Amino acid sequence: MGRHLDFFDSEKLAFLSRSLKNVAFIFFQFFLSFSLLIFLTFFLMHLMPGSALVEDHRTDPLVVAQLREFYHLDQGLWVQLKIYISHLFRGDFGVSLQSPGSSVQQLIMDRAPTTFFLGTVALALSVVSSFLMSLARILSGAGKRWFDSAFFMGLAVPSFALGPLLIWLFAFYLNWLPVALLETPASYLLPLFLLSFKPTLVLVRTLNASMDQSLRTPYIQTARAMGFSELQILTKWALKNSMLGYLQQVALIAATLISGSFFVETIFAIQGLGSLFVDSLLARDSAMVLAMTLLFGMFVIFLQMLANIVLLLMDPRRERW
Amino acid sequence: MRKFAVLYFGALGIAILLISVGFGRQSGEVNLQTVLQAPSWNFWFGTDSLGRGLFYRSIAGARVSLGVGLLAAFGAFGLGAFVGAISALMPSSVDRGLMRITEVISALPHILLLGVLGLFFQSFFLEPGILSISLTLIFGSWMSFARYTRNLFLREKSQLYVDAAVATGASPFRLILRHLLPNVMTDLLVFLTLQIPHLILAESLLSFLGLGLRPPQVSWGALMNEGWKSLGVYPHLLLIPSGVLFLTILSLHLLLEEMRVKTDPQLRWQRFSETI
Repeated sequence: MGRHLDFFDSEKLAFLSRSLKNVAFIFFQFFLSFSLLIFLTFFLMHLMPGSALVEDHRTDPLVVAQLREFYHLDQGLWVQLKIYISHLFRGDFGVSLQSPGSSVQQLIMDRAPTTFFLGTVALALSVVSSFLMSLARILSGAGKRWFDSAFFMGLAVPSFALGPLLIWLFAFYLNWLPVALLETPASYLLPLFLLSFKPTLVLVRTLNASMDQSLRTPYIQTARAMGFSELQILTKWALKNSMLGYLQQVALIAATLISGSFFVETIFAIQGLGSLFVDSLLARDSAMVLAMTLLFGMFVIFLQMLANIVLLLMDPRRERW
Repeated sequence: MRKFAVLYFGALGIAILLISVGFGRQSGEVNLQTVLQAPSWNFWFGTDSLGRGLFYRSIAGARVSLGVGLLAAFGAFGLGAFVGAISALMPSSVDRGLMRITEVISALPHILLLGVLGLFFQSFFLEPGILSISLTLIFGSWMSFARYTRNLFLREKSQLYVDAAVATGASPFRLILRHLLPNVMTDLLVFLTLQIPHLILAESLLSFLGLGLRPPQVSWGALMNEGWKSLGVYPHLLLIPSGVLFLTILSLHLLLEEMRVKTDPQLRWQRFSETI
């Protein structure tokens, strides 16, 4: 017992320094990934033939030339990259090509809170409901198979096909909920449901698989033999041991939520980042697309880094990837 | 349920064959006398705003959607397997670099990556078409194939028969084609088929958002995009293509699940042990 009280235990110190090294390594990976992301997106966007400026042939060539000069499009690729990176470090993403007069970061900042709010609530919803569903499935005993086929069917439903069906059913046919926009509390129901639909099912699948696995282990049998109730066994041992894979999946779900926000915000005409991205893609607004790709990519990479660090601190068996 | 999936694909296949040889062509043509009809005996799925039969168009869309899905799956498989094989067999510095790039690209949300690539290929080919959407899907989905192939190759690389082949003087090319690839092919093909529903869904979502195929081309996503504009008044224009899409994906999942259970001895044993 004394071993745990001794803070300067050499074993513990070695573990701490290893963990620190691993965390530093994770940070290093993050920066490497981020700089790679900058290069990839920049060259993809700038090797593209045609742009928002040459789309409209009625524009005066002189004006086009001036605009190209303003956006530095008349200079070489390396010069553009240098300008771009130096602006990036000052938090300056340039001016939107689609709606001149408003800067990219202004447009993004205006719309980010809506998307962030929807995404966070949807994530919380899917985490809570995945726990409830998974527990209900295990506790239902013989009804497990029905749950399994329901989850299977649910995963096959394309959520962008489910969305219009629900809009038609609840907004047009039954007339219970508003068609679009986020004005009343009731109008949040459908977007949140659609956003959390797929993530919930994916999380449930992960949780089910690891729960099934840990329920077959000897320590669960021991707990059963000792007479603990099924709910106690589940929450005390099975769930705890299923958490590692689950947490990893939660970090991955963030990317799914961003993908989901694209179509959910588009079909509900919500003024968020997802609809902004789709609009700028349709208008070939390369400055905007570039900035948002970087932003989303950085966000996802950051979340994965966080998940890695949390996993490292949580799981004593895990030392390095 | 499995019977349903087989029946569904059989019927879909026959319908696609029939319209490919020119059956029911007049119901797919513009006819202003039969604009926006609800489903009836003459038009099973109703008609759209130009009087074209939606049944005909759904089947024509099936041809494009399934074709693009298959093409993209095989293309992404080829590209990913190539990158993965190189990564596994090259020195570790090349391996690390390639895997880092793969990781960064796959960290991006899938639809975002597809949207950006779609924009790139569309401006490359000047207009959105089947080729540009297939290339978009290929370059947007090869990462999982690359990682999977790399893992398989790394597993096989340490086997004894590889040493034997090298010792008998096999060139790297021959080693890959004659020795390594045949050993991992089954696993790769199973993985390939599991990706097909994702690619079909990705194409539909892109076309639905207006980033993929556009009229006059027909695919399920493009049909949904058209139907979306008149959801309140003519819901069948949207609900029928999405229903067809749902049935297709469900049937595919059912077949793939069956296949997965059949090819995985561990899963089969689990099923068996649950029954006793």
